[in-house]
Amino acid sequence: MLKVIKPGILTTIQDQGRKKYRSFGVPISGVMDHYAASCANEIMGNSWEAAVIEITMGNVTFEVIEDTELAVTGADLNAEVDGKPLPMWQLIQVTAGSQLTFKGPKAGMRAYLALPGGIESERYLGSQSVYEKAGFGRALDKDDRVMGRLKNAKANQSLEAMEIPTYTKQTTVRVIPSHHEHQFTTDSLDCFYREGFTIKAADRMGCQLEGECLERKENTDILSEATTFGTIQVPSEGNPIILLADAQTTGGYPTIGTIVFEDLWRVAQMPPGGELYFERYTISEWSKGE
Amino acid sequence: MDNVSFTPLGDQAITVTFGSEIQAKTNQQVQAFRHLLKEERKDYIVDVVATFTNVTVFYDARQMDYAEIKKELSGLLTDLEAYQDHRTIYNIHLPVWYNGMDLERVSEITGLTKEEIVERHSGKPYPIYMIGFLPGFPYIGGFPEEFSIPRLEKPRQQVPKGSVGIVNAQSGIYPVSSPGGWNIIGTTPVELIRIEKQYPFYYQAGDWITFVPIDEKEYETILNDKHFEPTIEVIHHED
Repeated sequence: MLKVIKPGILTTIQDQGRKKYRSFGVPISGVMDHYAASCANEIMGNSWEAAVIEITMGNVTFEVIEDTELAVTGADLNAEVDGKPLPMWQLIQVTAGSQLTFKGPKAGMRAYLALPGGIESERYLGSQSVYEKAGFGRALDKDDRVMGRLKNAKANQSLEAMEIPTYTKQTTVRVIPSHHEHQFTTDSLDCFYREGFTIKAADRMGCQLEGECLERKENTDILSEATTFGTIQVPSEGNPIILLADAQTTGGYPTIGTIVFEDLWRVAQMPPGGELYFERYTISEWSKGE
Repeated sequence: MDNVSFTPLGDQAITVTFGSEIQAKTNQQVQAFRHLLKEERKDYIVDVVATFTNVTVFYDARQMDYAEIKKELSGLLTDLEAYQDHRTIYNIHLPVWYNGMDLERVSEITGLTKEEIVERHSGKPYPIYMIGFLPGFPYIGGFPEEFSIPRLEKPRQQVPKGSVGIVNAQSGIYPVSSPGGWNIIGTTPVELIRIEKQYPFYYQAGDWITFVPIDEKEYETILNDKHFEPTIEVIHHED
């Protein structure tokens, strides 16, 4: 069991999200970096969908209340156990009275902490993912206690070195074009897939980008329609916004495309000032089975 | 159906588009297809979001690729015409205290008196075209053209929970407090997200809402009544 001493800017319990309520306008939420979160669970032998603690940028301290095993993956937030570097991407044992600190980001933005059996917390609409706006839980606060569902981890899996990603300040993600693509000028589309875009600001709802302005042939908005985690909207002023886990489920701005699911973690781990490149990726209209 | 097109929304969802304008006929097709998919209970379908002119199907990409889901949905589309008669629609009678902070602005733009605004907004069922923007935020259509007024030029930082607004001949309700730019004409005391329930929402896209005018006293009474439930009428759809 852990007790929160310092909650940092945003420390929340997240699982794989609330996937069946988008038709009611409820965002999926869930972990921002699915890969790192599922690795943390895999190391401990948890279900890959189990809830973990998502730590954003650090300035977080936990006190260990009862001896426990845990695993930390994702961003390198200068994590320490009693002042010594915390070994990441592996199962570790911590003892009562120890302090776990996440000082601040060295590489990446979000770290994941898994406890045996997954984190125990209340479910709202079938998910433990915190989404404060609708009252589905709240961010961790000072003196909150978090515990796993089991006393001990079911496994102690080690990851291959190649399974551990490196978090860089420049990355490329694949984009599946949207049916609004024709609304953009050819020059703007060329530019979008050629130039880098700088991350101006990001939270769990979205990531604001800055770069060459994207122009549309006509300056009209669209009828609101479904968007998803990874959809890139372009409001009339021309700077794209990537919608993330807590984004609204529909949007009225034309979209240029949606990032391939497998690549989303790269966006989730990019710091402000980081540079994103986009690669146009067309999904096959023809089944592999035919 | 020849007017229908398919496009990917990333690699885990597909959008089926029935038209390009807000039209009752188009939205009826959209709602019917959504209900049909819901009833089919295919295990590869994760969620279905219906909007004004299209239906987006989130699918389990581990079970199916884009080409396969497209083929499946094309098949289901052929069943659509026959399906329309069976669906059930709910008409939720939602009490509203017409005390909105933009009533005067709406009155100025439309040339209608406060009483005329209330009369045109309440008393009969209006269809929910889609839900989006916020959890449980309905886009309700079918209002007179007189309500074709734009959003506020500068959105408010905080629109209070329960606010009922109008924009572009549509009405919407803020189930939670949020920044927003709709013209607020009233407030409902009804708690629209019951987080403790398994089904926390009273309505979904395709249902109807009938606004019922109430006064301040009734507003306070309902607000303080933890057990208040709005009247819900069951309507069998006939096309």
